[in-house]
Amino acid sequence: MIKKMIDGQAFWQEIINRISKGERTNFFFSEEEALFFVGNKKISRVDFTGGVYFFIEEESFYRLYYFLEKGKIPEVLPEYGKPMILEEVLLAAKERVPSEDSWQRIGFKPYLQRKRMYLASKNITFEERKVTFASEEMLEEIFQLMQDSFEPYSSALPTKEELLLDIQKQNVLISCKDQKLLGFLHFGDIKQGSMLWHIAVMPQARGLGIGEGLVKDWFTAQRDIAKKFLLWVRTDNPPALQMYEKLGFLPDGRVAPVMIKTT
Amino acid sequence: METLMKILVELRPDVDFEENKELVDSGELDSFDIVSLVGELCDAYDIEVGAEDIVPENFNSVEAIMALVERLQED
Repeated sequence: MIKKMIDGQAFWQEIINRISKGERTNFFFSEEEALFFVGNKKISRVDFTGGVYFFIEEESFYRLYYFLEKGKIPEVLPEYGKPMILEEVLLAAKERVPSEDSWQRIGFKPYLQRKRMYLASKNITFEERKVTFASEEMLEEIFQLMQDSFEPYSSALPTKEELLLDIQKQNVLISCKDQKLLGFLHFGDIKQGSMLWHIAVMPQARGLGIGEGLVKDWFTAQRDIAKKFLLWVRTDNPPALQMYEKLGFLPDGRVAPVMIKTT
Repeated sequence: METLMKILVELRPDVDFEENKELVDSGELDSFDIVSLVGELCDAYDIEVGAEDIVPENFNSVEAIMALVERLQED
């Protein structure tokens, strides 16, 4: 039976209890985020023997989170009428539990995979570069390029309002020619570091080194603040992988496979 | 300690666990690491990490994690 969640504190206590028992999960949110989901009535649940599913509703799909007791396998999901997205964060070197097969048995298909890469600031040879931060006037253009460049389910795209805030915080860098946008890079703060959230180059400007230039701009913009630079890259994007490797990024062992169940 | 170091290095090969004594407070370990680590500790040492023990001070250093494991093994 699908149930709406109403008590945020009880929800958080349940999360901690399940984690403390070593249950398998893809739920890695903070208390604040967990309370936010309940407060916004975005989350519902289905309980079954040996586990629980949590569903977070987005406009055109659901994000699925689970907790499973040791040795249990995922159970059949109720029909929801929108695609269901299952994103996990795993260690590449470790066996996946629950297995991909067990998700496929209940209707999920592999969708894409990302891996995380990092670069310590001390290993960067910084260049003197003139960086350009996005201005508020460019919001629409950047937002459109973002919508056109990323897959819709697991790219964690910001809303236009969130993007505007990040532009105001100087967390969006751009590459321009003759006042025309060629590409942008959107980053955010993490403790002692900087995370690349989104980077995209206009189709007609690809292959010209604009992406690499933006990444170097990011290094320059954050060199006094960040001890490390992090990013997630799709494993089916060889040009991007080669670019990051050339710049010195190394995989840190984390991978994030995404699976989809369509109706 | 050897088992713990093996778990930690597998989890985060990029972190200097011997030097860093503020693993959580400095942001070196994030929530994914903590959740994964608790799961690994439960399996490796056959313990349950109580909800009240999932606090930064128990995960800030190798020594703190080891002390937590030893205390839970005695319980």
